[in-house]
Amino acid sequence: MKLVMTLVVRDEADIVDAQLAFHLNAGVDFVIAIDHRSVDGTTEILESYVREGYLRLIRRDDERIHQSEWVTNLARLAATEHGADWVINSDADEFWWPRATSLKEALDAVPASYGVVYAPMCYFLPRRGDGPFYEVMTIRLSQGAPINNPLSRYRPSVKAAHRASPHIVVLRGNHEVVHGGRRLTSWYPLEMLHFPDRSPQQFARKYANTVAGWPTEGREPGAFVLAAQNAIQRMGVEESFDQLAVNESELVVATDQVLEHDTRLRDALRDLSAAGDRFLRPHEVPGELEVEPPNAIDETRHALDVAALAEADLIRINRDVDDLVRRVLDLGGR
Amino acid sequence: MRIVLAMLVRDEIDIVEQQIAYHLNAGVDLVIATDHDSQDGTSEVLESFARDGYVLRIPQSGKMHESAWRSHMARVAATDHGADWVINTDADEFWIPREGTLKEVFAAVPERFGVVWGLTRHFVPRPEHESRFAERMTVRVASAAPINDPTSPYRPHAKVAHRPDPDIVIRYGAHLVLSSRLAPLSDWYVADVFHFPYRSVEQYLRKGLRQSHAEWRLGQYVKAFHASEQGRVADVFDAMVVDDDALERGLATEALVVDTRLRDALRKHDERAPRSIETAPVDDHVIGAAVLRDADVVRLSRRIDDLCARVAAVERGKRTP
Repeated sequence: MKLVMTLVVRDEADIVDAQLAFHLNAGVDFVIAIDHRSVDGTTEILESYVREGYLRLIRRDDERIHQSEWVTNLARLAATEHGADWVINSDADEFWWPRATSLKEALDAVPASYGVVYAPMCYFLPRRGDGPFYEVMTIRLSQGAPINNPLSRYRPSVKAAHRASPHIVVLRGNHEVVHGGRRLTSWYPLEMLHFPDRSPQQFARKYANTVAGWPTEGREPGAFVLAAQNAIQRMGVEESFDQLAVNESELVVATDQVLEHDTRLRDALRDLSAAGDRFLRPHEVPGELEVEPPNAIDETRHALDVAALAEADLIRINRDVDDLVRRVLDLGGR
Repeated sequence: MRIVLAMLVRDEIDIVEQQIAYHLNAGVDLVIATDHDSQDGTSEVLESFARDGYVLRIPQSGKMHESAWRSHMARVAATDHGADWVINTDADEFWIPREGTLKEVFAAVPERFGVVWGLTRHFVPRPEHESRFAERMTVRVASAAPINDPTSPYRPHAKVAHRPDPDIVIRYGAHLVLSSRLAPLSDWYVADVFHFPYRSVEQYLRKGLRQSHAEWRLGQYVKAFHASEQGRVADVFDAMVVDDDALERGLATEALVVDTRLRDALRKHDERAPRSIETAPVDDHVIGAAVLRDADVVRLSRRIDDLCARVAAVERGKRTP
């Protein structure tokens, strides 16, 4: 199996090396990336992966981001020019975590009749601390019931992974695809560990970039993006970050209820970290990065996490049965 | 009332004697066992019970025909052995009546219903400090939401028991039956079925390798097969083992519960003292049943997906003559 990751990135130098090294070591064979106007050193990191044969880099200098169109093109290139069997479409702050020992093993278990699988988002909360993001951000939100407030950045959500197809269309945000084949729901072979807000500087730059680069046509940015931008303007960067960040007293109260210690990514990146604040490429790692497969406790935790997404299943089943009845009647000529 | 237990068994020497002894003491009158090519002493255990008239051993070899073999046993139980109820199960499963004895729970089923289920409770592997599985495996999964991952051994399911029917068909895994005579009772479970699927690394490997080539290639067995090909069986099994630290975390988050009912019953059996088994709390049972219903919605969804694919194939055939 060949697994290709697509990536659209702008100014994510604090995380992009970790993101690429993790995925390449966890089973991704090749990366196709768009670098959108980066000025913070991201470009140089991407170029180092190009030199080592892991990545194809496309630069875009458009003032506005055309996310769905760009990712669709990258995902099609994965099928037509890079022989991909599966494609994951990613942002630099997203880590696709296999619920198996590797990404390939997780995707291998998907029956051939399904073309699209989904990874539920696991939100890692911002936190003040010294050191790289993965050492500091080890607290994950655990949703017993879904947060439905549109102003919240933590609403239950999924990202789509799909079998490679020259006709695939990736919709905005990579949450859904069209022409990907049958969708597998209720069982999630992958999780998405998401680290959106990592430091005051990164947080301020990201929301400024997002709002500035947003397309002039179509839907507005998400309500939480606009709310964050307003908060930064009103309170300043440091205070608005602190308001978002989880503090130590909250941790004591809320751990094991709505917050969980989750060191999966930290432990994997510690294994891959090398001198000079860089991460090991697959050719530098003896053997494969082995992800600990889930045990009974983790499976139970995951089952509760995704239960919030399951209610849509009944609606889908009813719709599918209605469609089947119509088609079978048509086949019978009635 | 006469209860016949029908099971398929292959190389389960570490559990089969206790399984049969437990059920015979819990109200089962006869065990019919299809012995599929056992090589590890299981056949001898079955024969020793057979000499005393407790077990009818049906030897089989070659390719497994699970549904056909299970159906044959269930039919013979009806036609030749006067069964009033037939329990369909495996050597690693123990039917713990919801209340009282097995005969009492079956007697409580209204006459108009002919098919009932036991709710499976999965026990997790524990460090092998103690040689007997029932002494060490006293922790089970207590998920409040369904685990739907096909590579997991902990997916919610139920096992089936039924009144006699000489034409009955038992489907793969003994979760469902086809019967034109018997009506199902689907919202009350007569028993908890304690399930001990993986007990030691050797047994995990043996079972995984065999079952990965069975009629239905379940993901959990394929996973064991891949692990063996990569020389990582011990690592994969170790990750499943719940050690004392993990147990503490699992109890705190209510992912796991300690359940010593079978251990205690088997200890009493050793002492030849009167045998009784504790009843589980009602809320535990209600949650288990709700989780199973949710998992059944997912299974229904998968069957509809298959049906959609088959209808699409027929549609394509019609368009391109």
